[in-house]
Parts: sequence; C-alpha cells; structure tokens
Amino acid sequence: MSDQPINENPTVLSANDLPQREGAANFTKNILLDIVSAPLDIPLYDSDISSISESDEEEPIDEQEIFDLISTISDPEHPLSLGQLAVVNLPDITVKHPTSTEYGLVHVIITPTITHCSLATLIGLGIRIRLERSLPPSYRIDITVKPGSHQSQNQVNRQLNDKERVAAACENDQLMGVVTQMLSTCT
Amino acid sequence: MDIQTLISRKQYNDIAALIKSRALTIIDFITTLHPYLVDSDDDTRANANFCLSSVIALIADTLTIQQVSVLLQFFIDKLNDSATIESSLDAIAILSQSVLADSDLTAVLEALNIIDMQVLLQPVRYNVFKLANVLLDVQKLPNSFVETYISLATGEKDPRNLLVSFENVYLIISKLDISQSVEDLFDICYCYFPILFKASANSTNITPDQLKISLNKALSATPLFAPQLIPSLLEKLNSTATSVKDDALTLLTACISSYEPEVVDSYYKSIWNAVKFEVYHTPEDSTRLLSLKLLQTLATSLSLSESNSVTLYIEAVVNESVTKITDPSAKDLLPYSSLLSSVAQSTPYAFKKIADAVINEVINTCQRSSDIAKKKSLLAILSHLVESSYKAYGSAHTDGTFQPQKLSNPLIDYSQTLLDTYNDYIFSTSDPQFRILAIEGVVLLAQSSLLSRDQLSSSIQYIDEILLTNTDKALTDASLKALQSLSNIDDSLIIDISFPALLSALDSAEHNLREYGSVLYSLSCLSVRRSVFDVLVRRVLSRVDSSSDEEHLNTLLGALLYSLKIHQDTDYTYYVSRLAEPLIARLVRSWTRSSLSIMSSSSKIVQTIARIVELIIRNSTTQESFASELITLMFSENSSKFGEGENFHPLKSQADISKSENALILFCRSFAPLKQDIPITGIDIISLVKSLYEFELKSKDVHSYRLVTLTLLSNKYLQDAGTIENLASFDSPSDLEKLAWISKGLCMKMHGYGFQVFEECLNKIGDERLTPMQVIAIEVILADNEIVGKENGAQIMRLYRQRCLGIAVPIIIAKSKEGTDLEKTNSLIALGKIIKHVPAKAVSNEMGQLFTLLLQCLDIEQPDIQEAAEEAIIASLDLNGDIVEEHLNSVTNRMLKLSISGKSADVRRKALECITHIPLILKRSEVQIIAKKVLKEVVPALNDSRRTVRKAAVDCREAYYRFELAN
Repeated sequence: MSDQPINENPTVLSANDLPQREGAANFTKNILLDIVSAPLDIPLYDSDISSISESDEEEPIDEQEIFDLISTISDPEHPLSLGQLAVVNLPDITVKHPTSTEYGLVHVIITPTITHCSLATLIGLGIRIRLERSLPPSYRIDITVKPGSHQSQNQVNRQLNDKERVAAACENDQLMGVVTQMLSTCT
Repeated sequence: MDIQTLISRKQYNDIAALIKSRALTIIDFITTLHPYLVDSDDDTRANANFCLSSVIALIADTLTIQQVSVLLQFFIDKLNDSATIESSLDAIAILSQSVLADSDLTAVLEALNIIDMQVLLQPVRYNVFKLANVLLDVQKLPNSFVETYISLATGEKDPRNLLVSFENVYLIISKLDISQSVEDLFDICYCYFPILFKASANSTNITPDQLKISLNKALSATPLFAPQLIPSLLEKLNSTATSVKDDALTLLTACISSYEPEVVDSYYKSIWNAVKFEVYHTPEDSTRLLSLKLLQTLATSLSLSESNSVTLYIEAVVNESVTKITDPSAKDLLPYSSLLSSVAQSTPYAFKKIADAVINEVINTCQRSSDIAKKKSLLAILSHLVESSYKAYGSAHTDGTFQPQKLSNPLIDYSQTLLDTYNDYIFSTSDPQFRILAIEGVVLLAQSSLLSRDQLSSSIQYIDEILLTNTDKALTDASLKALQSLSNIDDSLIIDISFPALLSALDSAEHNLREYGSVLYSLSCLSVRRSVFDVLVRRVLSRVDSSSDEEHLNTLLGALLYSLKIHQDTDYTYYVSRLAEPLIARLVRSWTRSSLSIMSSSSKIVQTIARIVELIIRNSTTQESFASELITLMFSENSSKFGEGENFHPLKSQADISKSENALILFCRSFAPLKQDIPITGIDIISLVKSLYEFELKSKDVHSYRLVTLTLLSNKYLQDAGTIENLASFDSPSDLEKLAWISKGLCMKMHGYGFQVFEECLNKIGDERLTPMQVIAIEVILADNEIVGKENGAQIMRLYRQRCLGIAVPIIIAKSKEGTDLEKTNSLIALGKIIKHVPAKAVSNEMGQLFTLLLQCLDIEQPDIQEAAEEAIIASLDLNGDIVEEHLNSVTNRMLKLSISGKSADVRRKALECITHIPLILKRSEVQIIAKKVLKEVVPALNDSRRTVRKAAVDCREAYYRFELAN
C-alpha cells in the first residue's frame, strides 16, 4: 500500500447515526410501570425455582445482526469502520434461513467508497472471514459489490466468492496480518 | 557543656543560642573550630565548615556588616577547597540575603566568575544556582553578571539544577540588560526544549510539568528571543511526536500572551499559516485544543495592536472557513466550526465580525444543501457559535425567572434568524439526529438569554409536539432534557405551555395504556423542580381520585414516584404534608370504607404509594412527628392525622390485620427510612416482632413484607437477642424462614446470635424436612435488600458476609466430602448461594479449597447456582489464575458443555464469557492446549436461539483466532 490513501476524502457517518437495534422497542411497553412496579425481589421458601425458566422467544439471525458483525470492521486505510464509511449498509444485507433440506444464505452487497478502489477485494475478504467465523455452518455466504460502484465489478465478485482463492489468501501470512488488524476493532 | 562537646555532637541550635545570648562570642567559637577548619583531613575540614555555616545560618540576622564582610571573605576563600565548597556556597547564599556592601558583592561575583562547574558534583552545582538565585533576588547586580551566569549554566543536565537555572534566567531577563548576550542566554534555555525528561520514582521529586512551566516562563519572558524562538517553534510543529507539537504550541501561546501586541503583529502571519494546519489536520484532541487556544490568544493580542492586523487576521479566518462551508464536497466542518467559535470568543469585535460573515452564509448553504451529513455539520457551526457566546457573555438566570440579557451579546441581532432556522428544522425534518441538534440550539439560545418569553413559546410547542408524536428514543430524551433546561430558565413556560398540552393528550390517551404511560413519563421528567412538581401533584391526585382501573392508577402514582427519584431538590420535607400524608389518608379512607376499592385491595397500588412515602420520609426532617402518627395509625385506638379510623389499627391484632393486610406494606416502607435515633414510642418492639411472627397472612406479597419488617426491626431496634430466642425454631420450614429473616438483621450488625442461626442452618444441611429452606435461609442472610439497606440507614457491618463465609467454608467442605447424598447436593447449592452474594475478592483466599466444589456447582441444574459459579470462576481467573490453570481442562470442558446445554441464556452466555477470558489471563503454553478444541466446540453456540449467546460465541471464537495468530 502506498502512503497516500486511495480515497482521501471519504463520506463519514457518525457512529451514532448507524442503524442500531433498540430505538422504538423501548416504547412498546408502559415505561412507567416498568420502572415503578418491580416486585420486591427476595429469596422465598415457596417460590418455585423451576419457574425461572427462559422465555421461549426465538431470536433468529437477522440483517441487523449481520450488520453489527461486519460494520465494526476497520477500513484498511482509514481509522474508520466499514459502517461509518457506508461500505456496508443495512438495506444491502439479506438473510435467508436454512431449512431441513437447504442451506441458509447471507448475502452482503458492499459499496466501495470510490469506483477504482483497489482495496475492495481486501475489504470483501475481511467481511468473508468475519462471517465465516461468526455464522453457523448451515449458512452460505455471498459477497458482491454494488452494481455500478466499481469499475471491475465482475472480477471482484468472482474473486470474492472463489473458494480456492479465498483459501489461498488465508494461507498468506501477510494478508492475514492485515485482515486481523481490520478485525481487531470488532467487539 | 563546653563548646567542644556541642561541636562534636552537632548541636548547632545550642551553639547559636549561646552566641545569641552572648554567652559565647563568634570569635571564640571560630577559634575553637579553627584547628578543624585547617585540618589536613578532608572529612574533618568538611564537617567543621559545615558546622560553621550551619551556625551562621541560625544567627545570620544578628550579624553586623563588618562580621558579614569578614565571614564572606572567609567562605569565599574556602570555595577553593573541594571539601568545603558545598557548605561555603550555602553560607554565602545565607549571608547574601541582606544587601551587601559593594566591595563584598564584587568579591562574591568574582568568586562565582572563576568557579568551574564542569568539575563539581550535582549538590554543589545546585548550591551555585541557589546562590545566583539569591543574588538575583536581593542584590543589585551589574549587567556583567549575565555573562557570568551563562558560563555557569552552560552544560547543566540535572533537572533539579535546571529548575533553579530557568528561574534565574527569568530573573535575569526581568532585572538586567541582556541585549549584549541575547543569543547565549537563549541557547542555555532553548537547548532543553522540548523537555524530554521523564519523572522517575527513585531520584527526584521534580515533574516534567514543573520543568516545562519554568522553562516556558524563561523563554517567553522577552521579545528579544523572538527572532530565533518563533521560527524555530513553528518548525517544531512539523514534528511527528504529539508531545513536541503540544509543547511548542503551549510555549507559542505563552509568548503571544507575554509579548507586546506590536511584536506579535510582526509574526502573526507565519504563526497563523502554520497553526491553522494543525487545527484542520491533527488527529490529536490535545493538539487541536492547544492550537485553538493559541489562535484565540493571537486574536486577543492583535486586537490591542494599533495596526489593522486584527481585521486582516479575522478576515483570513473567515475566508478559509467560508470557502469550506460553501464547498459542497467538504463534509467535515468541525475544525472550521471550532476555529470560528474559538477566535470569536477573543473579543466582541471578533465575534461580531465572524457572526456577520458566517451566520447567513451557513443558513443559506444549509437550505441549499441536500446532503444530510453536510447539513448537520452546518447546523453544528451555528450551535458552536451560540455556545461560545454563552461562554463569553454569560447566561440566563437560573432561579426560574426569565431575564433577557441586556449585555451586548454580538449574536443578539441574529437571535430571531437563528430561532427561525432551528424551529424550521425541529418542525419540518424527519431525521431525529437533525432535530436533536436544532432542539439543542434553541436551548443554547435561551441559555444565552438571547430569546424573549414569546420567542421561546413557539419552540416549546414544537418540542411538546415531538414528545407526543415521535417514537425515537434519542429524540424523546433530547426533547425532555431540553424542556428540563428551559424550566430552569423559566418554569412558567413549562407549566403554562407544556403541561396543558401533555395533560390534554393524557386524557385522550386513556384507552391506550402504553401512550398513557409515555405521556405521564414525559410529565414526570419535566417536573424536576418543586414549582413544576407541585402542579404535577395537583393534576395527578385529581386523576387518582377519579380513576378506578388498577393499571391507570398505578401509572399515575408511578409518575409521582419517578419524578421524585430524579428530583433536583434533596430535601423532601415539604412533600410530607403535600404528598405523603394525603396519599396515606386516601389509603386509610379506602380501607375504612365498607365497600372495597381498587386502591386498598391492590397490593401493587399500595406498594407504589408506600414507595413514594418511603422516598419522601427518607429525605425529610420531620421524621419524629411522622413516626408517632404512623404508630398511632397502625397500633392505637386513638385517631391519627391520617384519618378518622377509630376501628382502624391494622397491626394491633390478627383480627385487625385480616381486614387490611396491605397496611403492613405501607407500614414496612414508611417505617424503614426512619433514622435510628428517632424515638419510637407507643409500641413494644419485642411484642411487635412476636405478633408479626405469628400473623396468619393470606397474601404472598404481604408475607414478603412481613419478613422484611422482621429484619428491619431486628437490625435497627432489637438490642438483646435473648428476648427472641424462644422464637427460634427449626421445627418447620416456615418457622425457619421467619427465624432466618430475624437473624439476617442481627448478622448485618455483627450480632453473635445471628451467626449461630447461620451455622445451625449449615449443620442441618442434610435435614430432609427443612430442605430447601435451610439453604434458602443462608441466601436470605447474605442477600442485599432494598428496604433494609444503606439508603434507609440500616446497620451493615462491612465484614459480616466475610464472617459468614468463615463459618460456612469448613462445614461445606466436610459435608460435601463425607456427607449423605442430600448433604453433598445441598452443600454445593449453599456454596453457590454464598458465592452469589459474597464479593469475589473475599472468596479468593478460600479458592484453593473451594475450587473443585465450585466446578461441581456447575453441574447442579439451577440457573442461579450455575451463574454464580460461572461468575466466581471468571473472577478467579483474575484473582487466582494459578488455581484455574491447574483445573483448566475440567473448566473448559464444563463451560463448553454449559454453553450449549445451559437452561438459561445467561448461563450459556457466561460460560462462553468465561472461556473468552482464559487466553487474556493464563499462560500461552496452557491456553495452547485447549485452543483448537475451543474453536471447534464453540461452533454449535453460534446457532443458539438467543442473540446474546451467539454474540458471546462470536467474541469467544474471535479471541481464540487472535490467540492462534499471535503464535
């Protein structure tokens, strides 16, 4: 990498502006009753311990969860996250859940900050590695660049989803060093 | 005692006293000392000279001019002797503290002139600098001293000496003509810039900051240094080290403040050109702040110059900023925003110039722009400017009366324009972040007293509208915060505008409890001042009286409780008669009426009222009269001020309590906050404990309060445990439950009887009849309780849990080794309960013997026990890493198992957190053994049904991938 960043003046979103879970959720209940009517919580003889079981509510993997996993990855050339640089965007993520017969699919469309960004493949590789480590094996991962956002769109897409090439990249210590650096901000 | 002895014993004070009382003459003293002063042995001469200088120091104020002169000559001669030079310098410094005769001063200066600093040790050199310091301070020195000093100070390295040396240079600059030696003098200071010295614990007490301050004072003291200093400092800004840049900026700022404006004038262009670069580009906050401060100081200084440089300078600042503001591709305007507001704060003139040039430009650009990020940073510029006007020109009165500012705040001409802009954005945009910025802008304008009451009212209506319609949490919070701040400026605005709007919305939301709650939440957040809260109380109580639905009623009361919790006042005495007593009176009325009402029958409502009363009484100064009324109400046939209940004394007997059990809830929470020294008359604590013990209660809620009341009474009022020992019964679980709660109060204040019960519970751990009450009893005694806690003034000794731990550990270890099956299981559960409540640090000493039991706790299928064990193991990683290391395999296997099979999400999550924690603490070689296995076996947790568990699994794998790669 040269010293000069490829894109010197990227658009930056404030971390607060990124899509988050919560928000409206807090307003679904009667907020005052939540605050004031907590029962007196003491250990009692005839309280039924087994009744403290977890609610059955399933929380399936959703787009926001994928976004949270990858938006905190650092950009390789700016001290900013992929979310802040709008390289990954919530509407560009789709999740298809696995069924008994089919694998699930997580599809992430990335938007390079400029059309000639030579780091698009590196960013894509970082996202792929992050997702492969974080998702159950029943999901396949597909990463593509947004149509029209990169001049060599097809080449990049092929490279990102070619198993052999990804595996080869993972063997390359120097490359993995850069990727680890990018993932070090994921918490 | 003869003088010889005094000398040999180093009793200098006594010698000085003899001389002062004229029992000994100086001549005699010196004569006695003389043989030693000229002895051939270095140590002897050094000691003798030290003795002489020490005594002289003590009698210096009694010496005649002639004596001073003779002594000076003596000590000057002694400077040639390396054994005596240190104490001689000391003595000369002391003698120089009064004005010397010309010839003496000349002699001292000549002596200094020939001192060769290179060959001297640090303490000696230190004395030379101290002597120079005294001379500079007291004597009138010739200008030739500048040269002398330069040769003394050249090459000095020790920080202790330098601290004095810098101070000396400052004195030289202030007192002598340095024009002949500017360069050399500059060199002996500037060669130390920037200070690289780092404080070390062992050597000196001098900090780098002391040195920096002292050096900066010397270097910025004269404009004669400027031609060399300023260009050199500007060059230092190219450094890559932040600390060097920051030091250069600090010194430059000091120079600008101390130089005459005309001098600054000649450098301002080069300074501006170099420093603005730092404002725009530095990634360091410290550097940016120092640069901004510098540019502000520069503006202040130039404004005092007679040339028109200040106008040119501000124009330059404005032009750079406006170019960026109007450039559609420039997105990050923060540096320009801070630059403008910093420079604006320098003088009213600057503020006016900047406001004139920028405000309309920003507003117009904002209207034209369609880029949200750009618009936000433009709006931030306006707020930044208003905020600086607030800092520079004072604020509104905060006593709740509105006083428009008469001072000439330069923004006054723009207040309407700014307000219109903000209102426009509050009302017409949909982006919450954007609206928040606009709301904060209005508050800043109001705080700077730039708005009239009428001007503000429209904004308040807009904000009310937001509270009623929007669903974004951040925006709601910002709106509430804004109205709170505005109520501090003028509370009538809130009472007259926000309250009617919100109350009418409240009434129309009655069918929708969620909305009803959120309107009341808003109202309670706005009522943090007494004047506003008073209105809330009036409005809420009138609705309480007409409401018959449990949840509505509870929400109304909840609003009062919540508002009290976040109240600005700390003394609630006023609310005793205003709120607590009326609420109790309402309860009493509903209890004594023949027909049941929701208010008296719902334990939830009574609990909320009781919580309000608890909070008010806790913070009131009229506890004594309240206590006596409460006792009358609860126990006596006399009528209390709360109501006419002749037949109402619910705690008097079983028959009474059966009629209105909920009264016990009210009693418990109103009685709890009473300070211990408030006299309790009219009831006998022992018989109250007994009747509480015996009451048959139907409601489970009330039973809980009965138990807590037992703890409350035993903790605060029971002096002699003997009186309740006949209650002590292990016959049935329900007897033991009550006994445990009484014992809890005793243990908390370290009363021995409580610990006896605690121990007995452990001894009976295998008693099938009591199971699981004896284990619960252990938890009861150790758990925190919100009512009998510090806030209500309970007696809680810090070490009581530790003492329980000390009792429990040997019994648990013995029972779990050799006991029956039930004893073994119950011991493990008991251990789980104990570590749940005893701080990890306290357990860490016992961890060696407990760790294997802790691992077995993980196998007990009770989530709270498993969680407690997991937490204890995580804590052990930090506190007892070596013990965990010994059992690393079992820990890892069990945690991996729990991460998948744990019954509650928290158990699974904590298991994963524990595994994640391991590589951060334990030795690489140990972690190496488990790393591969962990990476593989954590995979199923990635598919957990709960999000928090999946996240923990992701973090766990990431930690081990990082560990692997670092190998």
